[in-house]
Amino acid sequence: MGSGTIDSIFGPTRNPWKYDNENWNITGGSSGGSAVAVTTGSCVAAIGSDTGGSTRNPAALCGIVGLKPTYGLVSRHGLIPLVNSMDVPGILTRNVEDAAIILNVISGPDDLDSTTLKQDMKPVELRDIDMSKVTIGIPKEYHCPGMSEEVIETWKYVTDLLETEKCSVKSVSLPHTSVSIAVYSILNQCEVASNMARYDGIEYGLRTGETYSTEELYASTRLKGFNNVVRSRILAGNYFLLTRNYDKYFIKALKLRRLISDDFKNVFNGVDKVDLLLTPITLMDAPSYNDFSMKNNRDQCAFQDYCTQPANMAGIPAVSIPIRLSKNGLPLSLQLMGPALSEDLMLNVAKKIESIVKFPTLDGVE
Amino acid sequence: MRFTKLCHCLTVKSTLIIKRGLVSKSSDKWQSVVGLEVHAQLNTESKLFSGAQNTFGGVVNNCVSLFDAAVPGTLPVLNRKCVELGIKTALALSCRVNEVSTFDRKHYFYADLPAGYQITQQRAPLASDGVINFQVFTPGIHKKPYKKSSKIKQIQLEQDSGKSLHDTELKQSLVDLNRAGAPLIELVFEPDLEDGEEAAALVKELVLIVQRLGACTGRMEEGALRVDANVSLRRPGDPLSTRTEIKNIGSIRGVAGAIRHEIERQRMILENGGRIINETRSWDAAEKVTISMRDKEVVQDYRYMPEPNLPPLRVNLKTKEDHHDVLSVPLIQEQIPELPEETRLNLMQQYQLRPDAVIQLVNEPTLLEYFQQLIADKPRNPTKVSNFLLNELLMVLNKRKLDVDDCTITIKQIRELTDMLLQNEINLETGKNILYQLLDLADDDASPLSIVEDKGWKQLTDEKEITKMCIEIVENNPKLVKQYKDGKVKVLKALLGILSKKSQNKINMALASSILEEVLKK
Repeated sequence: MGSGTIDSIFGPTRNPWKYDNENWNITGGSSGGSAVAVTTGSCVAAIGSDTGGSTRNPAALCGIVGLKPTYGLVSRHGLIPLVNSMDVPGILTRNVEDAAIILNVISGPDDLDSTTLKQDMKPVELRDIDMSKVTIGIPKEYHCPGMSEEVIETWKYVTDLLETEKCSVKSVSLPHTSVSIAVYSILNQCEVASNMARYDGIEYGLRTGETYSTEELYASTRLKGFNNVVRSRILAGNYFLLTRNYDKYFIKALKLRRLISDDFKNVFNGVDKVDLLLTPITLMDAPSYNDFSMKNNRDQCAFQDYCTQPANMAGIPAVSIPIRLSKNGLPLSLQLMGPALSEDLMLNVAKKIESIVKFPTLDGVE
Repeated sequence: MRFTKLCHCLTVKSTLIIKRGLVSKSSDKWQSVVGLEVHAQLNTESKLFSGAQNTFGGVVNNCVSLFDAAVPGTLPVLNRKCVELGIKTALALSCRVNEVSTFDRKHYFYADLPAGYQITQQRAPLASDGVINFQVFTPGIHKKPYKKSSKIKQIQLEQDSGKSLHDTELKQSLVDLNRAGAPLIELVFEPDLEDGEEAAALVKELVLIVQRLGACTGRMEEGALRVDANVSLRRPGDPLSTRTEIKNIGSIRGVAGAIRHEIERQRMILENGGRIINETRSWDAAEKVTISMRDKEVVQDYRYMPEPNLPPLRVNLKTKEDHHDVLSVPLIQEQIPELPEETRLNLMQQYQLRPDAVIQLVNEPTLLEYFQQLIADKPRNPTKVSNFLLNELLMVLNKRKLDVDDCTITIKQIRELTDMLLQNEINLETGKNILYQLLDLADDDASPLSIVEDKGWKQLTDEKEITKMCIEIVENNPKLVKQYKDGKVKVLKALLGILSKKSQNKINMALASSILEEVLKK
């Protein structure tokens, strides 16, 4: 959990860009390991789970493609759950074409996941598309405090580039964006509290030697097995789910989630509808480990997930595309989002952007 | 030995009646209120959300899928058959089946609950607002049957937990997950009952219904149907007062006993100026007491949350169109068989049987089956047939400590036997002896006719011979005869007993009685 990949049992994961033993940057997370494996060429593609941006965030900071498919398009059977209603198996690859190939293989109905869509999706097909027929929306709420100049410039650069390609580009509004991160945090903690209940040391996993009572065994096992981040989410989640708090927090969060989802429906369906949205994905390039570890996990998430988690709240597809290198020589990426099951158009436009920006590969730089 | 057992039974029964007397005496002061919650295991091949086998008595931890052990990454997949059986039960109990129902997680930590939560239907259950109608009649307690009904608040689908086995000597707990995830329906009844006997009668009726539907085996001894009872006392006219909950009562007589004792316990506390605390108690059938299960008076917060891995369950209420994941309720309605209440009415109307006989017949499906078969193939006297089954056959089975459902006597054997009885070829006493023989032989080919021939048990009806025997008895028992002639008419019974014994119980008693009286007059 978290957007750093610095808390895992084997120590922090290092960003392969500008790597040196003294000074290094984080990979982003939580699927930072998958992103490193793909970036370095250890594998062609990797799967990561995307609950609030965990595939797209490390992909963006490591300079690869990170695809979060529509909720229900890819089976979650076998995926370790974090937030069941938002989790999607994400795809990390070095280019859009590989992502499309993997998606076509892993998508489709699965009897073992009752939340998968019942019909097969038409496979994604990459082709030369007529960009003049595509309308791109630029949601103004994604200009958020703390966003670096470089990210804003990159955003502007691709916006101009799409206009040059004859896309119609317009400013749109997703008014509930700013509350999304708080709502996400409540729902996340509730489902985490529930999903982590099974790690009690009885059936599998760590079990301490405590023999005084079953309750003591649970307490000591869970104290030892979970780090602070997980424990604080469990505590908060259980608090929100108490009968006396349920309506005040959980139900309210669900209502706001509906409004956030409706924001997207409105821009994708209204009179002034757009086909896709173009937004930043992180607020800056990969932070250095030293800077990042100064803030606590909760604040980092509130900051790092700002642009990514709304797609999970609404269940819509999103893709992170690397654009260019920052002054520091680190990748800067942008995100495309589309309505449910718009993977075909979204990846075709991503492919077009990819072919124009010609982002360097890691070995090409060094 | 047997005799002492019987005596013991009689004393138990008489104490029951005395206690009952006490209850009614003070009932103007306290009114007992009872409501039930029943968990019934659905009789399906596989579990509620996994493909693991749903069976009783399998090898420990052998019917456990990865999902049942809560292995991360596994997901629930709803078993269609469970929905079908749940709806069937709901319809049989006149419930409103809900077009959309949803699943929730109920969180608590327990060693035999691997996920740390149970998937149930708390907010939007499968069905709501039903009713169960039943007859209350316990021989020895009630003089005659009376009608009662209890409203059903809701019926929900949910998972069963595993089983914990505690070894107090080794201080070890062992967990068997074979039952974890088995399908249950929970039936929540309104507090419409007054005592343990009514509750027991409700449960009996429910068992009969789910058995007819094939929804549940109803075997309480296997835990296939478990009862929780909420009990409270109040002054007549007052609102409901603090209740206690008795958990997991495992037999029908246990339901009656546990509730009777709990009412008694609460009454004692209240009459001594005490206060009832809201707590969970368990029933100790051996000691005949309810025991507090948790010492803390803290209400547990289950932190309910919608189950995000299961979409809402939708059913088709209007048409007979049946889909893979949308079941047709009208189609299920068509498959509902005749229910016990209907059978009782039919039996009374068609055969003029007494209400209490009809209740007893319907309560024992095996006896009912014998009765229906005996009545179907040729005209036999329904009252005599039912009396024979309810008196002689039941008594013989009790003596042999056999459950009615385990009776090995075939319908062919019962037919032969009843015909001999109805045609006066044998007397009732011989009929009973033949039943003992059939049970002891447990041989489908054994024939009651040949048993009678082999043993020479044919009824003695020859008047001359009986007269001869009577004269002999009178001559050999001058004392008794003198008593009789002095006006102690009861002595006739003793003389008849001697006569019967002398004939090896073969004599036609009605005939013998009148002949003996004639002889005595001389």
